[in-house]
Amino acid sequence: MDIVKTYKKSFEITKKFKYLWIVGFAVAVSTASAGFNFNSFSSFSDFNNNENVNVSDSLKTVTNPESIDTLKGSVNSINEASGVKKEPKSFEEEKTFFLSVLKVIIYNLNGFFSVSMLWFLFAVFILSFVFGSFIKIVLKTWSLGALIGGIFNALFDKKVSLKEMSHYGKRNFKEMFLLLFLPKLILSTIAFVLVLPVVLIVILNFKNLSSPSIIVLLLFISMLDFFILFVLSILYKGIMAYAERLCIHQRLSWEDAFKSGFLMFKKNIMDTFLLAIVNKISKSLFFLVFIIIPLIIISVIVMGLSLAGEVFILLMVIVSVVLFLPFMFVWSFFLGALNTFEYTTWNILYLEKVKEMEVIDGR
Amino acid sequence: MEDNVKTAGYLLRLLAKGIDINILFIPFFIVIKYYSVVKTTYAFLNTTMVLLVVILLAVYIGILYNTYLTSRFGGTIGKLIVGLRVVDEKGEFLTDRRAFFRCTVGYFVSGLFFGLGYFWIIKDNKNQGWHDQISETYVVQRGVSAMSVMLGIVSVFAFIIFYSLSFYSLYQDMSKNFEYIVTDFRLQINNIMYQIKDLDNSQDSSIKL
Repeated sequence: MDIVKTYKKSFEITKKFKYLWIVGFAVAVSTASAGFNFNSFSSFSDFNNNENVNVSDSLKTVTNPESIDTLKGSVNSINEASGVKKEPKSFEEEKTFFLSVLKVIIYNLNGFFSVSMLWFLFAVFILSFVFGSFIKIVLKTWSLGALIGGIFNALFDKKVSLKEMSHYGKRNFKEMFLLLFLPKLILSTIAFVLVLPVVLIVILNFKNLSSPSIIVLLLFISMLDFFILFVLSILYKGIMAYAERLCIHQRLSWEDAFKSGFLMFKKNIMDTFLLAIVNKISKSLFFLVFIIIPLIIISVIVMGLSLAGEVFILLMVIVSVVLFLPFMFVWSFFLGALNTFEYTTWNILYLEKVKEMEVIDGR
Repeated sequence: MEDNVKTAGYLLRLLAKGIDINILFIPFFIVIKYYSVVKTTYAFLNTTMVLLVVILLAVYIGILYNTYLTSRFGGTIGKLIVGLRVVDEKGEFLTDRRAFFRCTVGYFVSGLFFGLGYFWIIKDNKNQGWHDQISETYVVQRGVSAMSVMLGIVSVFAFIIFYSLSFYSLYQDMSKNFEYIVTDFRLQINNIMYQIKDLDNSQDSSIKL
């Protein structure tokens, strides 16, 4: 495989067929995973661990002191009246206290929420999650099929329009859907089975976690899991690089596409790795040049100007707000083009390998 | 599609969309209106929770509303009032599957790049947005008259005026009740803090013993 030639051809295709960018961006958006942040928990534990903060102080921060006085008297006075002096608490005491506070809050939830309403909200959340996931999978399946098919059309000098691309997205939809869903499900199940022993060991030996034998065992199993999952995920990505294209180009069933994808990956393992590494490096360089370096430069300028005076800070905030939307607009086009470029390189490699195999088979 | 069929332009479609948005806003409005009688933390939080449920369901109800009406009647209520129909290349109404595809994948793609796909209706000679192009559909004029357009404009303005007046009265009611809610909230929080304080004290006493 000639990487320079592949990159040149990909660049030409990406530059010429701008409709591909739309679907390229759709693929980028539909394959992006949502992140969840559980850091909010730490704010409560910080409050609990801070020896200097007594309850009355925190009470004052959430309520108006004047209204507290009109109630049963300030908590501070209760604190003084009880004559209890604060002693540093051990971890176990802190844990017990924290659990008791949680119990109090849960018990008092009845005063804030209707329990049946909470259950209803939970059910709606689950329902929207399931429905949302279904729509996301449909989107991903369509956009991937449309992008790969559109690039094939571009490579074969055929018409590239949204209509043509959409045709590819819908053409082998069921098989593509299964190809994207089932192997990933199997991989996730394997990951779950591998991680389960680690979780079980931690739960069963919660009190003896500091024991050297447990630490060694956990380290060994974790590293083994990591290695197995790393190899499996590389294998999965390598197979899928060919299987997705086989499913769209030759309209194979998901099973046949996966099997043939495996054979193609096995036969062309070096070229596949080479392209994957070059793509990764070029993508990282692209992000570095167009996102990280400009952000660093902007941050330095903003910090410099902030030292100069408040007027400059205000000016910078206004300029940032005004520039944000155009930047996002341009950036979405960039992302679409970048995705198109990357998928084109894979399509070129696939076609090259199919051609080689046809020559070998004498077709 | 036949050449003599007249497709619908951007403004007509925007008018139809305006009516639909107003219709889909009705459930939100009912829940939001309930805030005017809310006077306790309990009622406030539970009403907010119902609002959250409505917001979560709105997207999916919107999809079902769009899919069902488009496949059965050729368009949503807004489109029907203005006199527009969504059809395929043969001029027939869409199947359920195609209507679902149009209002999920189609609207998603049109929404990319800050809704550029919707503005494509202005540029395209057949007035097809990206969602029309990928689902191979056309929005055609069937029974658009001065009367239907007027009816559309009047209904959009009627909704806007109705919502504005209602929100103004809601704002007045809420500003009256806000004090009750805040006081009740403080009481509830104080109650919890006292219980926590008791726990803290009892734990410290037990340590001393």
